[in-house]
Amino acid sequence: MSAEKLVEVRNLNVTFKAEEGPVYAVSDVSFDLAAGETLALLGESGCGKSVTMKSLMRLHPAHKTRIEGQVKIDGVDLLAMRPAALSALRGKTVSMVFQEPMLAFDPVFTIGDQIAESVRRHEGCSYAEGRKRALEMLERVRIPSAAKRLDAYPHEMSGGMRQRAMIALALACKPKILLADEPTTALDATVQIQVLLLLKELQRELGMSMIFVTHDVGVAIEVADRTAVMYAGRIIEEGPVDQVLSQPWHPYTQGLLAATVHPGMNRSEALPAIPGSPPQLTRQIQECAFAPRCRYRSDACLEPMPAAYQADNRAVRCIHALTAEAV
Amino acid sequence: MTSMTSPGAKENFALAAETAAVSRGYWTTVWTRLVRDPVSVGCALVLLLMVLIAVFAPWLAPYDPSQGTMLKRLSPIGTEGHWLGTDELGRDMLSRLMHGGQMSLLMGLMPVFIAFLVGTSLGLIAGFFGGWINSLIMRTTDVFFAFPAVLLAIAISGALGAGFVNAIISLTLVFIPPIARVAESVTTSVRNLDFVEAARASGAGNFTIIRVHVLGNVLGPVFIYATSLVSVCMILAAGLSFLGLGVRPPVPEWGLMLNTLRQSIYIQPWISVLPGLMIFITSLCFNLLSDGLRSAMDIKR
Amino acid sequence: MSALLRVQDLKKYFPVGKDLLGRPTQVVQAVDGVSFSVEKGRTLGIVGESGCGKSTTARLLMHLIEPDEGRISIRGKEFGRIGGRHPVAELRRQMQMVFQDSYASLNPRLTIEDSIAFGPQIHGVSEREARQQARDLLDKVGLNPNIFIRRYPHELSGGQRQRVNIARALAIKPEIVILDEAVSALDKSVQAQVLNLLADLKKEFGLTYLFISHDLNVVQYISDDVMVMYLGQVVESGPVEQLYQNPSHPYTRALLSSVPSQTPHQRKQHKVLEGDPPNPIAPPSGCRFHPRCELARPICAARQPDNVRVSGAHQAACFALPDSSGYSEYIQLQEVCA
Repeated sequence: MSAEKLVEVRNLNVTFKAEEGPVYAVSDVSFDLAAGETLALLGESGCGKSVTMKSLMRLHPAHKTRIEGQVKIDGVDLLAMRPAALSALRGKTVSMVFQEPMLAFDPVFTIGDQIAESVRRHEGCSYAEGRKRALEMLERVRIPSAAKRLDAYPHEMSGGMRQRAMIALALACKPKILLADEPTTALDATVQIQVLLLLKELQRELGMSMIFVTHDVGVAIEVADRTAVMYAGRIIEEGPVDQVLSQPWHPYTQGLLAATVHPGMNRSEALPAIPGSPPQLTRQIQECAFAPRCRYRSDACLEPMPAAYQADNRAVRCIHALTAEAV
Repeated sequence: MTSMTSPGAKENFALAAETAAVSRGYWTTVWTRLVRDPVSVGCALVLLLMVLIAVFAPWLAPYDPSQGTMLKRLSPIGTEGHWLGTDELGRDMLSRLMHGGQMSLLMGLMPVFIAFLVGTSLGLIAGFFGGWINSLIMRTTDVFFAFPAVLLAIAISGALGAGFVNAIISLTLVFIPPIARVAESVTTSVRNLDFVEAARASGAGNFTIIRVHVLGNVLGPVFIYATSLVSVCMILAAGLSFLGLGVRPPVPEWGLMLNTLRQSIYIQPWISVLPGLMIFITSLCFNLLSDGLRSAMDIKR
Repeated sequence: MSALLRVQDLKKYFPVGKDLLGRPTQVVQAVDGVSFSVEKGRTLGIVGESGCGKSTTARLLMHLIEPDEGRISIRGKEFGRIGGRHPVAELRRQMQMVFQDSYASLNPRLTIEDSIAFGPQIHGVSEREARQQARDLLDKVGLNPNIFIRRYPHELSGGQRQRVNIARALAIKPEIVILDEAVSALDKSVQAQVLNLLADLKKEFGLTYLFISHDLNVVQYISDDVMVMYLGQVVESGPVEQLYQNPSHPYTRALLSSVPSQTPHQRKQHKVLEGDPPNPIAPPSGCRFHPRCELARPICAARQPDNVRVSGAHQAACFALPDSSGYSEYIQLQEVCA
C-alpha cells in the first residue's frame, strides 16, 4: 500500500441551517485515505457519518449548509472548486453508491443507456463506446446474461441486481475513490454478503479507494482496512479495523461492541446496553458528547475536549482512554 | 477548573438522554408556527378586517348602497363626499363595496364549507372501506370532473334558475368532488399506516377507528385544500353574478358590480376596476393563508 | 406441557392483477401451509428474507388479513370468522402485536397516554382506570410517566417510541405478543436496551413471544425455538441450540453463514449462495429452494419434500437429509425420476 493520500480531510465542520436554529452535524473531523485503502465510517443514526461522506462530493445544498475546514481530493482543494470542476469530479474521480438503488437510476431510461450516458459525459466518447463499456461493467459486477440486462429498466430487476447495476454505474468511469453509503443495509442477508464480497473484489481489480458508511459492525469488519467510529458528529476513535474492533479504546466503541448481539452470548444474562441515547446536535458540544452515557465519566469530561490521543497508528478522543484500555 | 466548562455541558451531563422539551400539542405547535409567519398573519388580518367591515357595513357605510343621485353619476375617485367615486347610477362606491362584501364573502365561504363537510364524509367513507363502496362514490364524483368547474357551475345554476340560494347550491356541487377526492386519497394513505392496524388489533371497530385515528389525520390536509378553494369559489360566484345567475340587482355584490360597471370602463376605468380589486385581494389572501397553513402543519418527525 | 398457540396449515394467496372479468391473473403464494405451535412462556423466533411470508404470517395470526385456510387455536380454542369458531375479538385480547416502524404505529395526533389507554377502553375499562394503567405501563417499560405521558410521538426518539408501542400492546393484557421486526430499525445500543426490556417483561407478565426478524444473531439471543421460512413455507424448525449448531436445511446453512463476521480474523472469503430470493409470484416447483441449492437433484424440482425429524423436535424439509425413514424413499424416488 502506498503512502499517497487520496483524501485529506482536516477540521471539517458541517452545520445545517434549520428553521429552529443550526444543527452541528459534523464537528472537527479529520482523516486521511490512502490509495487502495478502505475506510469504514462506523456509527449509529445521526452520528454524522453520511453527512461527512456527502461533504466529500459537496452534495449538500449550498444555501442551507455551512462547510468549514479543508478537504483535499487527489491533491485538489474541494471547497474552493467551481461548479464545472465539481461536476467533472463527481462520477469521474469520486463516485457514490447509495442504500436505495432506485434513487440513483432514472426510472424511464434503461440501465445500459444510463451507464453509457455517464461514460459519454465524463470521457467524451461516442454512445456506442459508452454502451460497450456498460456491457463490460455489467459483466464485471457479475450480472447474469449482462447483454440482455443492458436493455432492462431499473424496476425490472430484483433488489440485489439493481444494487449491482448501481455499482456498475458508479464504477463505469473508473473512479479513484468510491463512496458507499450503507449500500447493503436494505438487502437480504444472503445477498448482502454477495455484494460485500463483490465490492472488495472490484476494489482489488480496479485499485480504487473506498469509504464505506455503515452502522453494522459486522459489515465494517468484512470490508474495511481501517475504521473511524463516529459519535455525535465527531470521530472518537480511528485505526486499523482488526485492532479497533477487537480491542476498542473508547468507552463508546466498547459499549457499542458489547451491546451488539453476536453469536455465543450468554442468553440468560441481560445485554450490556449503553444507557440513554445520543445528544441533540442543536448545540455546539465542546466537551465529550458521550460523557452523559459513559461509565468512566468524571468532572474533567465536562472540559472542552483535548486533541486526539495517538499511538500505534491509532487515535482516540477520550481522556480516560488509557485507563479504560486497562479495564 | 469549572470556569472552563463549556456552556450547556451541565445540562447535557445531567439529562443524559431524555431531552426534556416542554410538550406541546400538535395544534398548539401549528398555531405558533403560523403566528410566526408574517405573510400568514398579514393575510389573516386583512381578511378579518374585510369580514368586520362587511358585517358592520350598515353602521359603517356613509350612504345607503342602493340609493343614488343620477346627477352624480360616475364621479371620479377622490370626489368630495364620495372618496371612491360613484357608480353608473350615482351610488356611493365605498358604501357599495362595504355592503358588497357581505354577499361576496358569504358566497365564497359557504359553498366551500358545505362542500367540506359533505366531501370529507364521502371521501372518508370511500377511502376507509374501499372496494365497491369506493368505486360507487369515486366514480360518481368522477362524472363531475368531466366538466370544467366554471362550465359546471353555470350549467347547474342555469338549470336551477338565478338566485342566491341556487348559486350556493350549484357552487357546493362543484366543490364536493375535488374535496371528496382529496379526502379519499388522504384516508387511503392513513388507513394503511401501522397505527390503524394496531388499533384494529386492539379490537376496535370501524367507527371507533375512524373517529379516533383516521379523522384527526385526514381533516388537516383536507382543510388546507378547502381554504385554497375559497378564492376559486369567490371568483366563480362573482362570475355567476356577472352572468346574471347569482344575486340580482340592486343587491350589492362585487361580481355583479363588476358586470354593471363594465360599460363605464372607458369613462371611469378606475372605478370599474375597484370591485375586481376587492375580489383579487380577498382571493390572494385566502391563497397565501392556505399556503402558510400548509407549511405550518408540515411538522417533520 | 401442551401448546399455548397452535397453528395448522395456514395459507394465504394474494391475487395480483385482474383480467377483464375481475379474475386474478396471478397469485402470490405468500403463506403456503405453515404449521407450528408455541408453548407458554417460550419465545418462537421466525427468520427469513424479505418475501418469505413471515410478516404475512403475523398478520394472519391477528386476523388483520383473513387467512384462506388454516386453524389458529389458543389453549385448544379455535378462533376465526368461520361459524363454530370463537370470535376474532377474543383472539385479539389474548394476542397483541408490535410493528417495525415505531413512528407509523403511533397516531401522531394522540398523546402517548391516549395511545396506550385506547385499547383497554375498547374492552370496557373506564377512562380513569385506563389512564392509570397507561401510567403504570409507561413506568414498566422504563419511561418516566411524569415526563412522557402528555408527549406526542414526534417528540420521542425511536427507542422511546418502541417502548411506548410495547406498552400499548401490553395494555390489553395479552398472553402472546407478536414482535414483527420490533427492534430491527433501532440503533444497536438502543436495540440492546429494548431486548433487555422484552426479557424483563416476559418474566414479569409471563408472556409468550413470537419474535419475527431477519437478524439471525438477535433471534439466536432471544428465542427458545426457531422457525426458518423461505418463500411462504417453513423449511426448518427446532430448538435454538440444535438449529444453530446443526443447521440441516441447505438454506438455513446458507443463511447462517451469510451473517457478517463479528471478529476481524474470521472474514468471509467465499459467498455461500448465488442470486436473489426468487419472486413469490411464480415460485419454483418442488422444493422452492432448489434453483439456488448446491445439493439439488432432479427429485427436488419434481416434488415437495416432507418434514423430516433431525433429532427431537428439530425438523427440516429436505430430500438430502440422511434420515433413516426418508432417505431410502429419497434414493428410490431419485431413481424413478432419473
